[in-house]
Amino acid sequence: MRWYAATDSGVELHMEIRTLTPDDADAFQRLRLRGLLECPTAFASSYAEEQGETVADVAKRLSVEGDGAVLGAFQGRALVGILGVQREGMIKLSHKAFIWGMYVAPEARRNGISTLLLQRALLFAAEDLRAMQVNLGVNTKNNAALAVYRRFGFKVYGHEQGFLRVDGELHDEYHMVCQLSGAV
Amino acid sequence: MLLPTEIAGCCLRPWRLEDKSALLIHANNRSVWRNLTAVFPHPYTAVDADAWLSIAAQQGPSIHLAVDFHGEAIGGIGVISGEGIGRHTGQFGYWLGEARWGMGIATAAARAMSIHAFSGSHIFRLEAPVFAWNPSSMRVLEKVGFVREGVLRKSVYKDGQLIDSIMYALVRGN
Repeated sequence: MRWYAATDSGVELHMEIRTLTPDDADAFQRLRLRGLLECPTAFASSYAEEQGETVADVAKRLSVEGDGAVLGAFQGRALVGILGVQREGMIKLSHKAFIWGMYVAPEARRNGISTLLLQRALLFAAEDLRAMQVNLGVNTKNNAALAVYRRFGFKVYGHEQGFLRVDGELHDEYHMVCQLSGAV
Repeated sequence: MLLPTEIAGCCLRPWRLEDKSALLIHANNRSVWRNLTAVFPHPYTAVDADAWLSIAAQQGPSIHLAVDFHGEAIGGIGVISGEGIGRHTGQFGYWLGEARWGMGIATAAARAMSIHAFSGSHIFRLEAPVFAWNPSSMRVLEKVGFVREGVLRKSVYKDGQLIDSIMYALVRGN
């Protein structure tokens, strides 16, 4: 499916959102590592833990068939945004999905890419995973991400103090949920 | 369920059987009827009120709430869930008794309802076609963030005339 995102200059940049495949491993890993370096407080994982992964390891992560997907936003041929959506593995949790690892490259921000990724992710959760609710966690200081999640109906149900410790500093986390199953 | 609005004393809540007298006062009005679909009758009789209160009480994918102002049902607002390829689209509609027009209540109610519709449901798009002769309702929807998408030419037959309607829609996340 193809999308068009308006830019500040008013020019429409070609934009495509699609599920990544193992063939995208190299581009995904590069963007993922950029995110881990640029925003260490936005991810539970860290650059040090992932930089040594081989492309084959990453390709394996992108071959999640059926129970999840990693979505990519492309401007032309460049991968500029990523987001993972995954069903919980245990039977009693399998009515739930979670969103992980949303990142948009700084040069591609303010184009509505995170909105397109989330729209696609929530529809994937509702239609393909048949998830009744979607959970995610976000740094309590990450106002840009919080605003996008709130616009989609995510609500904070928990505030965990000291969730992350990055370079000796503690960071709080909001746990958010978006119900998809209810009547209007 | 009770949804507060930004106006003091105004909330959205389920219809109750006791709303019948208020419903008859506010709904039996030609100016209100003129901007609504054919399911809203005129004159609005006690039989119509009973029928509506029983429809509104039904559980289902759609929702119909009363606009409550200081305890009185002065109007209605709702989202009707679509089917098939439209299953993630909701038809958005509302009305207010004429005595309460011009107070910002419709805007407050529409904002509260749209936020509610996009949290906890499968709805990704709310659409509200407005009759061309109803610019007040267009302003309400614009204030809430609905985008004017286009003109549906001669799409509505109402009050003896074939008129345009204007499609307004709000997409989840935008």
